[in-house]
Amino acid sequence: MNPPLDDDKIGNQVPPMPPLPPGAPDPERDPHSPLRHTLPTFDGIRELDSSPPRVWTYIYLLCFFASIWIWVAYPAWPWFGGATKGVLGWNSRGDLPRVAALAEEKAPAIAKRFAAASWEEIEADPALRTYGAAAGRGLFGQNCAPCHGSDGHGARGFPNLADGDWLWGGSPEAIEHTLRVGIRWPGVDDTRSNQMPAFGAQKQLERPQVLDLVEWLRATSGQEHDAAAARRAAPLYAENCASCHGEDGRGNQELGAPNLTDNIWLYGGDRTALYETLWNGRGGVMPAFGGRLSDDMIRKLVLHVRGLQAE
Amino acid sequence: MSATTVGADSQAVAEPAPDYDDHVVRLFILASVFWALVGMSMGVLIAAQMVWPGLNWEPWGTFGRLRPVHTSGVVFAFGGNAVIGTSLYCVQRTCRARLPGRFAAEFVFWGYQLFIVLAALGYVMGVTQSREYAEPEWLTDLWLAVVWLTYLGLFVGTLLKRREAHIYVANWYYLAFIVAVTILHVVNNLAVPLAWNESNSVSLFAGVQDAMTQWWYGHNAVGFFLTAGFLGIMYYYLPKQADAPIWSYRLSIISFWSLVFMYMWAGPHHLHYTSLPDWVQTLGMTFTIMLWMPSWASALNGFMTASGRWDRLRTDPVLRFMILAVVFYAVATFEGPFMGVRTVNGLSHYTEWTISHVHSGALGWNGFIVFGAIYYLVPRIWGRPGMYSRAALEWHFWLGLAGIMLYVTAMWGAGVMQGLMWRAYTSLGFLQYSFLDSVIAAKPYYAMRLLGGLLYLSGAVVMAWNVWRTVQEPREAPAPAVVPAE
Repeated sequence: MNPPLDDDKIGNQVPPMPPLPPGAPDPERDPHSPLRHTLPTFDGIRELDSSPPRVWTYIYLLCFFASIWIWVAYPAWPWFGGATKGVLGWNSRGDLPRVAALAEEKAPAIAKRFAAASWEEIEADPALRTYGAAAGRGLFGQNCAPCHGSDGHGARGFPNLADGDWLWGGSPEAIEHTLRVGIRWPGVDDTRSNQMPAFGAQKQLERPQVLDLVEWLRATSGQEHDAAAARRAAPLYAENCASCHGEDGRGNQELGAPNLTDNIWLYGGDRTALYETLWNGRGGVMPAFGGRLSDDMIRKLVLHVRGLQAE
Repeated sequence: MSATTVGADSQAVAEPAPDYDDHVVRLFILASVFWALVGMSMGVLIAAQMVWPGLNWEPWGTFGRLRPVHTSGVVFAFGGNAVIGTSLYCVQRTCRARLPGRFAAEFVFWGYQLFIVLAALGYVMGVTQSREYAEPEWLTDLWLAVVWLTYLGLFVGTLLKRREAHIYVANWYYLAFIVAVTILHVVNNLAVPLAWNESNSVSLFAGVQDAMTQWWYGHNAVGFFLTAGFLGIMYYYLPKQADAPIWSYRLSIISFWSLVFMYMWAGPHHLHYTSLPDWVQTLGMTFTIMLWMPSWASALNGFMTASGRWDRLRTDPVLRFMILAVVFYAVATFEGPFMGVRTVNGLSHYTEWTISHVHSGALGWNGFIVFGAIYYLVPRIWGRPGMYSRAALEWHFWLGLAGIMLYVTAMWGAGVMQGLMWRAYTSLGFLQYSFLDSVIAAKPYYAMRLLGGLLYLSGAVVMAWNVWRTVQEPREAPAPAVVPAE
């Protein structure tokens, strides 16, 4: 047998029950029950048989009746040939067109005007521009912010949309097209596509040549560089790069070739990043939203994206 | 004990107490304390990952892999070991019978620990069947089924050997826990392995039926694991610690059968506004509403049992743990039916409100009732005069309570804020916030939650130290200057 417990240590002090005055009601006895204990004790635990409080019983019954009403009112019990329909006639599938119609009906007049307007009309009307950009903000948060950031400032590999430097053009029509077809997006035939070759990996250039080109790029973008190496690379640039990026390195938005002179880099302008770009090539992907968002939504996004620059 | 009970007890007094098998209870309690530290540390780590995403270590230490280590660690390892251990202690004494087999008890213990280790290793290595609270793959599931059926045999065997005419209410709940978990575990894990030597498997159910099976399981893991099992703890250890009679046998019966019958239906409230058919959602919602009062019946029985002993809340931290547990049980079982209503769920679902709800139940109800039971058991099963440090009991209690309060209020705040942000519209009728906005807005709450979790973990560390020192203490009893009233 275990030694007796030290009551003080486990906080087990039970004051002895004071003797009851003669004739007083027994505090451990339920007035509704003739039994003092319902069962023999278990390991010293006694059981009383008190009645549940009235209020408890009433709330329990109330919950039952509420549930029965819900079963009557809404689709609830499975039955042959489908579940009960409910007297209210509500079901979630039937509710969708109702809610959609409600949204249509409550849409502001400007929504219809926007849907019918051309780009020229939108550009000319500040109210339409404000409306579209406000709508586009929400769409941007749901669809674009995961890559481009909620402020559109992008990250390494994800273009900054707020710097005015556009790879595939910054006109409303150009942005609209990029959104619709995506960039290098599989399954869309006219997706925007080009190829920055892997000059090193595909053995088109030797390692020293790539290193020289890195210096040329740093010179062109106005960064600290090795002038001799940059001079050595000038003919290499003309031969390998100028066809896409232009004689002066200012890029070509028709081809999606980045401007190399503005010191804005999608994958970084430090030597390591430039070397990696030249050696392995690049080919980022942006999804085509043409099938996913309506034309109306895409135009709203365009307005929001163009507005980012001003913010 | 007062003299009035002598008549009912005379039979028991006449016979000597059987030599109960407490060895395996000691093992389960030690394992529970150990896994509490592991499971709660994992919780603190993943809470920190929510504040500083850089703490994700690819691939083993990512949030997605560590979260099931936390949930299984606290529910099945900490909670599971505690419920099994306390049930084996309780069933022997309330049946006045020894466990039927020594080897079976040891097998259940070591088999269960092996299951935990296999499951946790699988999680960090990416072996999962992606069913919440049922992540282990088929081989681990089969092993658990074997262990669990042995536990069932052990428990029922003791009930059959009992030298009492009736079965005590705590044992009804323990038995419901064991039987229901068997059914839930087997049905939800019905799957076809890709190959006999391949850990991956494919569920036997498809689409929305798969989702429904999973949440039938998921909700009843709450109902029968975290509720029935822990009510078993309450029904034995609360009256023991309070030295008070169970208030209402009638209420015990009503709440037991209501709970057992209704919980099984409530799972669909996890799938409101999904492709689950409307009628299933409605049924799940109504049974959730009807569960409110049966749950409160148990809480009421707990309160009224302790009634008349309220002054001891000041002096007895062990009883205080148990009463606070019942308070949190009542809070969580009120909140649950409310959140199960379809329209309320439209606000609360997918937000941190759910996390708050789960933790007010898990930290408050499950955690505190287990702490109370551990402090009740440890001196008794090791034959010590009491816990090593009474001050440590107080520290544990207040650290734990402060932790819960911070955690639960932080997640309430975050959850309601997220729910409101997601449905906020501008005057032009557009969504005002993106999902990312709501993530950024929740960050301070995540930091607050981390602090709450740290406090709760610190309390558990204090407990582990206290239990360890108590076990290490010499067995000699203090001189029995005062003979107990028995």
